[in-house]
Amino acid sequence: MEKRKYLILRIIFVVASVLLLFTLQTALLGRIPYLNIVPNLVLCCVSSFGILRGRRRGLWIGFTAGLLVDIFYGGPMIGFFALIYMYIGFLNGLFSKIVLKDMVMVPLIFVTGSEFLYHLYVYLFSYLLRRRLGFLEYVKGIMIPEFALTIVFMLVLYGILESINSRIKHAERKGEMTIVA
Amino acid sequence: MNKLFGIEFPPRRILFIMTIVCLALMAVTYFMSDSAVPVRTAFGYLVVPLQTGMNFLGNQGAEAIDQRISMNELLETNQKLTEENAALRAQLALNEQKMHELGELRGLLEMKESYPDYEMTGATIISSTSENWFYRFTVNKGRLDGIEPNMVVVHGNGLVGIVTSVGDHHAAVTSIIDDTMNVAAIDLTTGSACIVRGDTAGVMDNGTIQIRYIDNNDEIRVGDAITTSNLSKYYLPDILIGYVSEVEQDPNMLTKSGRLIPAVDFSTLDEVLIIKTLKEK
Repeated sequence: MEKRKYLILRIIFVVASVLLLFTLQTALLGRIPYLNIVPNLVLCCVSSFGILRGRRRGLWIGFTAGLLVDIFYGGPMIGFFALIYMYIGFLNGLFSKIVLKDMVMVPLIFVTGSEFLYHLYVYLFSYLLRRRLGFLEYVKGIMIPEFALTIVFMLVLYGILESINSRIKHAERKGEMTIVA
Repeated sequence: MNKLFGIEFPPRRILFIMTIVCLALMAVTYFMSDSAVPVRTAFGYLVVPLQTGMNFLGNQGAEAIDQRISMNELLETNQKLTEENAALRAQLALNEQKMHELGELRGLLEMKESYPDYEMTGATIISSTSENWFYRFTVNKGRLDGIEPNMVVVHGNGLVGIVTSVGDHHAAVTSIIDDTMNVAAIDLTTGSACIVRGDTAGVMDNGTIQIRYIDNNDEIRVGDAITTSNLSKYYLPDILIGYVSEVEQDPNMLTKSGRLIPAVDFSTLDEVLIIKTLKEK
């Protein structure tokens, strides 16, 4: 059982990360002139937390992050991005028990999978239903450049989040052990 | 990590329940579009200050980087500049002649360069769309600055888009190049009616968007100026949208379609003007 103190710390950590990344992505990276593709930091964040903390956390973090995106950019519908990010968080968490969390390959594979899922979802429900965009054009124009940028950021981001996460975990364990002893 | 509140809530069940919640949320906000407003306002208070702060940092950083780059470049370009000077002088003379010609042509078309009858307010873009599928952004003016949904947004003398939702201190704008946007338009030269439609594929490809539903008999040509028409529900008339870059016959032989280069350069947009006059219905 987590101690109260660490629970609050964890919550602050997660909320701060999501807010910071969302702001970074929209207010800073999105505003670079002539740069047409922005890395999807929100997805990196949700994916990282899914890997680090499992299905439940991934689910909720995905839901709230998606909700944040929806509220600002979802157009008339709120819930569109909440849904996909929730699933991404969940699915990343599904595999979290199987993999070693400090391998470099882990974030790479997971973010690629998450990105693919995410784009499939957005493509299907935004574009294919309205018959606006051919699959090839979309892959070439949006998916591949975004993949490249997002993967780079994911490696950095996951490294940071993972180290903070394990630091909190160590602190928790130490706390618990002193009590038990 | 595994919180059980007495009742069994395995992750899969939570996912299922939340999926229903999301779908319900989508349905509710789609059919009752005003219900989202208080939520948007509340979140605006939280996120917009962060974005404005981030913007400020970004600008400071950009300036610092710019300065460092120009220090290095100064030495290099000084050499080149002296050589180019002579060639530039000749070019300048030619351009002045072209500017004169342009002024005359503008006069011929009787294009308005400003909108003196409308009340307008300037706004800065504080954040762009969070991902690459849509062309939407938020500006730093909101309800408390007099901004309401469906207000028209322009830059220079070109149409940018329309306000889609407002918070107290921010507003979300969807641009005309966004896939979901349709604008009732008119060709200034021929008077032909048409629809200008946002097009992500086209913008990525060659920076153009679609023109649709041109009547077969209309004489629309490449280079014509396209402006908003009176038929539009929300868009004020006579705002320049862009210039025709292509026209071709539709397969149905009843209409023509084309492509349009927007008058506004969306890749470097920073400041916009919001027209506070709403179109009377």
